[in-house]
This record gives sequence, C-alpha cells and structure tokens, in this order.
Amino acid sequence: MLELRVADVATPCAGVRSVTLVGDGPLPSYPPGAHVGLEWAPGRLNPYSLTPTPSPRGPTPRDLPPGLDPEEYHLSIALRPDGEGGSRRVHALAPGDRVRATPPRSSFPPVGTAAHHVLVAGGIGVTPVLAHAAWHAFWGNSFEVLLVQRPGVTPHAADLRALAGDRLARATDRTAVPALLDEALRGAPWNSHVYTCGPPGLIAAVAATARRAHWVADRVHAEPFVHAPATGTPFTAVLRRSGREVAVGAGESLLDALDRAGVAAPRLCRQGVCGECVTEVAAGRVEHRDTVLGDDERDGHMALCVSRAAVGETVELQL
Amino acid sequence: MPGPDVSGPPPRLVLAVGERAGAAAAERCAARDRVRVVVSADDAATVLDAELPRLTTGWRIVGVGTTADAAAVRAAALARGALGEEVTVWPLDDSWRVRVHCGVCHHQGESRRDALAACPACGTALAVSDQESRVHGAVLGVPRA
Repeated sequence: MLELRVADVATPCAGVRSVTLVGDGPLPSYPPGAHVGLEWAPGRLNPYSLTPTPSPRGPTPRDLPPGLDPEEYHLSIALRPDGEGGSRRVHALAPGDRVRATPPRSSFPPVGTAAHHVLVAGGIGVTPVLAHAAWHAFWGNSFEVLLVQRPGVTPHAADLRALAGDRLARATDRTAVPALLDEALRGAPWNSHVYTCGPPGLIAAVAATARRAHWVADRVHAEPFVHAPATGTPFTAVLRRSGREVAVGAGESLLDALDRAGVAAPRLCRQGVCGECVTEVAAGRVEHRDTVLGDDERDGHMALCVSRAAVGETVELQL
Repeated sequence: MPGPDVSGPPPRLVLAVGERAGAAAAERCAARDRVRVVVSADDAATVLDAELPRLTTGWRIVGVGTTADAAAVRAAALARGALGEEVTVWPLDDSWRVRVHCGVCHHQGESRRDALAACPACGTALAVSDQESRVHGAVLGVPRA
C-alpha cells in the first residue's frame, strides 16, 4: 500500500471533490485509465480513476507522457450520499490528511494498435476518459470524445475541451445521445476502438450501437462506475460440451473463472447490462444479478459476468 | 467509404490470390462486398494498406486462395490491426500445400503438408508440423534431429 498525503482539495463542481495526493517518495507511474484503490476505512477500498496533472498550459505537462514519473496523483470523486461511505470520506479530506492507497492498477487501457479511439464519458466517468484523451493528445493519436453531461455538473469539461478541441462532442440532452453514438461508431475508421466510462445505461447504449454497426466485442471497452457485485459464495460450474468443471471462488466472477480456466466465453460490458455473455443454463438454480434479462428469459439463461449459482447449487452451462 | 450497412451481415473486403480464387470469391460475394484479386500473396499487404483506410470499423476481411495464400492474407490483416474475429479464410481445395515457417532462420517457403521440406534460405531439413500460426500465416517447420 502507498502512504499518501493530501496536498490540496478543490470542488470543481457541485457534488464533486478533486484531491491531490503526494507521497513521501517517488510515486509509481500509471497508464491512462488506471485507478488506485483508496482505503476509506480499515480494509475497505474504493477504486478511483487517476486524472492527468493539471498545468497552466493545459491539463498535462508537455515534457513527459501523462502518468510517467508523476509528482502527484489527482482524483475527482462524486459524492454518493447513499453509498457505503467511501466518497463521504474523500469529501471530508483536508490538506495534510494522510490516506493509504493501492499502487495504480490498469483496468481500462487504450489499445496500442488502434488507428482511432472513440472515448465516451458520462458524468463522473469523465475521469479515466480525460486520462485517455491526455495520452492521445500527447502522442498525437487519432481520437474523438463524446461527453454526456448535465449542464454545469461535469468536472473537467474544460480540460477535456482543451485537449480535444473540435474533436469533442457534448450532449446535455439524453435524446441526442443515440444519434451522436450512431454517427461516431458507424463512421469510425477501420481499426477503431471505443471506450466508455459512465452509468450502465450509457455503456449498454454504446455496446448496442457498436453491435448494430458490426463492431466485434473486442473493440468495445467499458469501465462502469456503478458496479454490479460479481463476487459471493464459491460454486462450481459444469461445462456441458467439454464435461469440464470450473471452480468459481468467492472473490471472482464466473466469467473470471472461465478466463482463468482458458474457456472462451463471450462478453462485452462485464456488468450485466449488455447481454453479450448470456449463456444457456442446462441445470442448476441461478442468483441473477444482471439488468438485461427479462423475467421470462431468466429461466434457463444467465449472465456470466455478474450472476452466480444460487447458494449450494451447481450450474451446468451449455459451454 | 460509407459506414457499414447495418441492415444485414457485415460488409467484407475479400482478397483473392490468383484467378481461380478470384472466380471463387465472385461466386460467393454479395453486391456490397469489395473484391480485390492479386497475383501473389505477397501483394496482400500492399492492397490492404490501400484499402483499409477507406473502410470503417465493422468491415470484415476474407482471404481466398490456397491454404497458404489465404493464411498469408489473414496474417497481413492481423498485422494491420484486424482482430481474429474479423478475419476469415476461404481456402481452396488444394490444402495439401502450406507455407512453412522455418524454426531456425524464420524464412518462409511453400511445401506439401505431408512432406519433409528443406528451408530454401538456410537449408535446414524441416518436418512440417501441424502447428499453424495465424500471425505468421504459416505452419511451423521443425528441424529434424
């Protein structure tokens, strides 16, 4: 764990607190889209995306790639009054306070071989997207940004505009989003990838639009900031086609366990909203945690990314 | 190049190596597919470099030809950012000829699948294995002990 000190706090817009953290020594570098797990109570960590270092010349210094040998970590965190307490803890921080955090973890990196990057941010989902945009701006990569926001309540909108210029499209009216997505994804040049950070509805909309435009799943990347919990009681999944048994641990999803076992399974959003990983269940009761299957579809199907076997059950999958 | 017609299956860039492959491709392709015929698989890279910037994401790539030539098209597409799911091959029926990747000097040459080959570059005697590399578009030639 990193021992960090709060160097500065700011309120870029209502309900959002930006925190600058420094270490007692050099801080680990991080790739765009990385997050740190900030400890807000003993043993309780929340992941928060790292944003680029602001500078008078723009959101990132021009001499080093964003995230390389950083002197500070920057986080922007939306207050969730009904959450478990992580965001309330951050909003109560003051300069001089000490916090602990995991080293940066990369879970949402840009694809290095892509010819073009489509970045989609909803609300506080702007934070990793800002890091991506700073990276692409630094290296001169081809990219565009679609920012879905309520007027006046999205932090870093000005930073994003400074980085993206006329490559930034903004939607303050949800009804405008489908047309903007359609235009961006249907017209994206060969070898594009799309990255979305936002609420599940936005992630699902991007995935659906991409699918309609014949994008394959591996070109669609998402980082939800509202996670459906995918962990729980251990269970066993039996794969009917191969006869293999895959043990699913308490701290992993069924999809994670299948990946670990080298079993190819479809996926897209990894949060139970897009339906890409829905698989036929031959036997066993399921604890459904997705938001994509209707009641009449849940009998005999499950979303591998978030749903689990009911306690004490073994599920048999048509995989 | 307009975006993909979302009303049907994905549009395809079909790269056929040789006249016979071109004829086979013409029979199987839809009107909205783009068919390009090249003389040699070595020309695939040049054609892809010219064609891919005209396409939008969502298009698929198809390599048509002998097993070796179709695999070479696939390897060239993968090297230019195509994902495995976006590339298919339509090998013609002479699948006994394969491109062999020398495990010693990495040179590639053609051989019969069931034959022992000598690498045309370094001369090493190679056993043609069943291990096919999609990236290299060739099967592995293992030096004989």
